[in-house]
Amino acid sequence: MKKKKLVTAEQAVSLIQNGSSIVLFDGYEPMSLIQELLRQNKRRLCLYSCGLTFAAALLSAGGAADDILAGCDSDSRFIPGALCVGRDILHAQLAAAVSESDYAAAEVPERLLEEAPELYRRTCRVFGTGTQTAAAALHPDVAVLHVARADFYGNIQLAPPADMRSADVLCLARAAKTVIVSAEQIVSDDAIRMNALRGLLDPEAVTCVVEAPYGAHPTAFATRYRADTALLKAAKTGEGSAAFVQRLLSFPDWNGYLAGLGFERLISLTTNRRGES
Amino acid sequence: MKETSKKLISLEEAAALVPDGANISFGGFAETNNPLSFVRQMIRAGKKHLEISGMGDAQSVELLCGAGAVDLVRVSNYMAKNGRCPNFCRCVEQGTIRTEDYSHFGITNRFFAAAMGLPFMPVKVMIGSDLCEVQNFDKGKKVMEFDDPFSGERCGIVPKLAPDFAVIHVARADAEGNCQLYGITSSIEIIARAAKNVIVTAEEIVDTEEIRRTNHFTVLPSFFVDHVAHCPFGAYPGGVFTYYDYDLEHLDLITRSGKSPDTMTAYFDEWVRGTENEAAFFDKVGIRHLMELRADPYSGVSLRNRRQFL
Amino acid sequence: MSWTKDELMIAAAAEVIENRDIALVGIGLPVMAAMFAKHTTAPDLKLIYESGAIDALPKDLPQGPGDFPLLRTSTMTTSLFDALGYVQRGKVDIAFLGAAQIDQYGNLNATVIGDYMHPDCRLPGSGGANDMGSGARKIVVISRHLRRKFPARVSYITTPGFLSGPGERERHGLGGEGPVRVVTDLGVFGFDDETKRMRILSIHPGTSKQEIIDNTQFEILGMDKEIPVTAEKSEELHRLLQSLDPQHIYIKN
Repeated sequence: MKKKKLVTAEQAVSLIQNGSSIVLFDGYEPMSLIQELLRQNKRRLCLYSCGLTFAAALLSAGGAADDILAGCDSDSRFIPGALCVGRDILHAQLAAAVSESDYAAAEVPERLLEEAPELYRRTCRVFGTGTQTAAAALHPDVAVLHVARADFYGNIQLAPPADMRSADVLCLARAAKTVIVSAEQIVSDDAIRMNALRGLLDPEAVTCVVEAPYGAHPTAFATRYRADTALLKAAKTGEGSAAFVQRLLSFPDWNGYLAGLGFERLISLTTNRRGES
Repeated sequence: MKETSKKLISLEEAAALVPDGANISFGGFAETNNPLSFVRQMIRAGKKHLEISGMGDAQSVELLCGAGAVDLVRVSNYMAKNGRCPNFCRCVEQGTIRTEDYSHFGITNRFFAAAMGLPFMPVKVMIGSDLCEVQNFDKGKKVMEFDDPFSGERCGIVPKLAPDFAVIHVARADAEGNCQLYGITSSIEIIARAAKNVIVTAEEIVDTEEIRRTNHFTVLPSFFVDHVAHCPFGAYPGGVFTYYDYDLEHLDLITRSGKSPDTMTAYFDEWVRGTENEAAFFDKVGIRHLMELRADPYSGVSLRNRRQFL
Repeated sequence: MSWTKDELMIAAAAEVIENRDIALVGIGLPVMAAMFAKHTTAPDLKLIYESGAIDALPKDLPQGPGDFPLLRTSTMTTSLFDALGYVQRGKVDIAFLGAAQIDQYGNLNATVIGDYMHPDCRLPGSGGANDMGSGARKIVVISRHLRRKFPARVSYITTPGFLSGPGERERHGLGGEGPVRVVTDLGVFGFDDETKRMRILSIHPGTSKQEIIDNTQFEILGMDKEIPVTAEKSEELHRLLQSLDPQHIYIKN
């Protein structure tokens, strides 16, 4: 008997304890779950943000997150207080957890060895002479991500993998004990089977699924809608993020937030109404 | 970047093109592909005295009859989801509209003749029945029995019918008017080819490149189209295959409202005249509700509608 | 468990279908009849819908001739013009029709009750019914058996049966054999070869001759003789039929 995994945002976020570590992925930002994390007043979260995610900025501005490790190759003033490491390094740390290793041998710059010695250190080479730098494996408690489609049983599909990144995302989500997914649309199993090559995560690994149309707004979601650049630009300063947190909290739920945006605005951002095929 | 052209106009501008008294044809079939955003806009604009010829246009005609906008109808079949169309039937029974009855294939052949540039089409339908015997405002130019001059075989002939306007709702169109549909076409391409002016409302506007890439879905080439308007959910409360299912609740609301002129007016006051434009109408319907109607990519139905939402 | 009236009608309508027929179905009980036939005596039956959905195999019952689940499993999705063109060409072996009124020659009225110019009651209209009645090889009419539905002559012929008698269809150039069955909730009827008037073929279990006479405004041929009882099929087939409509979308009685 296949287990049904569809829940409300409230139920999904109730599974996340204060003090949890959460991994986020840019391009797959589950803004409806972020709204709910803020609404449930979660505290002391530790975030691993693959890329500079708006979600991490909001959780930081909302006082929900203490520690933020951002895998990015550019400026992190967008997320005040974040420790910025290279994208590749953060990926390697998550991949190490998936392959059940304690660490990844990665090229870590000096400043990180100083700033975060609990995560990055110099050790002897395992094979050969001399030293190497190593980055500790990361085991997030929870992965939260937004996907294109899911059925009732946790079979999920991302947007078609135009590049290798989306395949990475699914790989790295496995580093987490709990995977919570929001989906643009809940579909039938026939629909999932029809698109079987679109990048699946084993449904066993998915803890629960929440339906959230336009669930990445105001960020973009590949093949469906553009970023709401007007809103994002305003939010890109410290105060802007805090104001956006207030905006999210002014609605009781995601449907309320969408109603506040209005039909015309959502349609104007939409690039493809029917999904990926 | 979407190309701009003078064909791409707003829905308001498109509806304004249709004068009172126009001979107009709407596409659609049962609860699908009806250009109802356009019809609502016509009602907001207070159109009157229309002469409607169509096939599968029940939803459109029912609303326009309810709004008192119609004088003449060439009717093949008008059914609501659960029975007769009350506004249409009341208008006929009270004598406020005049009708000329056809069969689906009969009237489509009248359009087909015009679409093919021919004066008439031979048919083997309608003859022998009262669709042929009883002729109202199309008397003498409806259908007549005819012996094939080559073989003597008895058949019928119907004269061409070229409406002033055809309004069709499609899935995708480019700014030039190339039109695409998924699933069945219900012959909207025939009425478009027959009509003098063609207005297309489209769920999505795409680049011509995209049309070329997926040209097996193209049903009408651009040179038949005069105007294109972007109308997302433009068939609501009807459905469009692979976009959204029909909204049975709202269709029933219209049918129930149609039971009397007062309740029908109340419906229009609340939903049509009471909303400034289609964006306001859809905000009233609710984004949540619209999202729940989205088509399952496999079967095209709303899982909630069809009680398959677990 | 005995068969309900709806179930008897479905089974009787399905009997007329031969294997390898091409059937045109709309909505309502005919959909069930076609599906039942396909699962039993006519596995090679091909269904077409006037909407343009060809040879569909829906997992669930369609809710209309253009319903979306039909479109996904069709071998072809085309236009109404094509589908009804196939009928005119003579490709459709059997079509099922309902009507507001049926007369003794199998003519159907779906247009108006009363005078056309000032009707007492405006009905939905022909749709594809006239097209099917003019061109399909066999027509099967399915209807409730009520007096007001069975006048001697319909006041408006929407769909031609045998018009006013033998030779009339041919004279007007119509194709097909015309109506071969009228299946009601009281019995199954055919048409007399010579006169083309309605004749009873079987009476449903639990129905009396008087009930049929009272609910018909004309004399049905064969009522004075011994009338066979409509046979109920096996319990196994009964269960199969019930399994096709678990949500009672069509089988209500």
